[in-house]
Amino acid sequence: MADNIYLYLFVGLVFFICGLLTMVTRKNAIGMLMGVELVLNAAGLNFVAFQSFMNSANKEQLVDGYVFTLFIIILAAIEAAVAFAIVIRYFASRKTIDTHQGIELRG
Amino acid sequence: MSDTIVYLIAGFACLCAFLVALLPNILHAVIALIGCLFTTAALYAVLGADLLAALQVMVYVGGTIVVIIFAVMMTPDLYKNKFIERAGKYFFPTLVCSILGACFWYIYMQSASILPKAELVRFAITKKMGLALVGPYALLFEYVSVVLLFGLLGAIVIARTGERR
Repeated sequence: MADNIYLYLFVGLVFFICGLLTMVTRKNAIGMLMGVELVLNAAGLNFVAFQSFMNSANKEQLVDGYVFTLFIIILAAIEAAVAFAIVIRYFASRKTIDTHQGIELRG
Repeated sequence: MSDTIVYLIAGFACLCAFLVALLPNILHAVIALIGCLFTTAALYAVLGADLLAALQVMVYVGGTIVVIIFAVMMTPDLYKNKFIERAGKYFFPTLVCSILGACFWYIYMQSASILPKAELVRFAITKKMGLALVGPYALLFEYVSVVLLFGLLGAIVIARTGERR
């Protein structure tokens, strides 16, 4: 029964929905960053699940989905580094990382 | 037996994801996120992507989480009420996200005929991934490495305070 793609799709869906909820509800910049990480994780899990099951169903040994998951992991690392830099700048000027305090760009 | 373990891992992953979304304290949410990332690595291993499982643990849990915990250090009054979110604030986003999730699940159920169904066949992916990264994906791999380089340079430039020696 663990050889069922729905299990992995369900976990990916839960990750995506929870990541979205985290991004929307937290007012802390780090909380929003964590939501983005969860959503990227969901995308990677879907890539790997589909690649594995397509390989098994078609009796192939392709790795395209795995390569894209590798790129997702790398891009998530870059994104965390850049977001951390932005948070440092934000904290240096505001002494807080509450995103509701940054209202200078509000139209 | 092994099926039970996979289900337990999947259930723990879902539980951790809910905790990330709903725990009011940011540090507790980070710890739940570590659980999410580890269980994702375990699911990668179950699916036969052993290299990705190792990379997930090294890059995410070893790198990204450390960065996030560094950032948590900048959060003042970690245990004060200031960072405890109001429960009422969650109602509307939770409703919208639940509807969105139900829509996605409906789409999955409707597309059951085109989803692949098979017993999992696992094979060694490391050599094939290495060959793919220098073969068909060489340009993309270089592109990602350039993005990584400039992303890190950009992070350094942004994080500098502007003071000159």
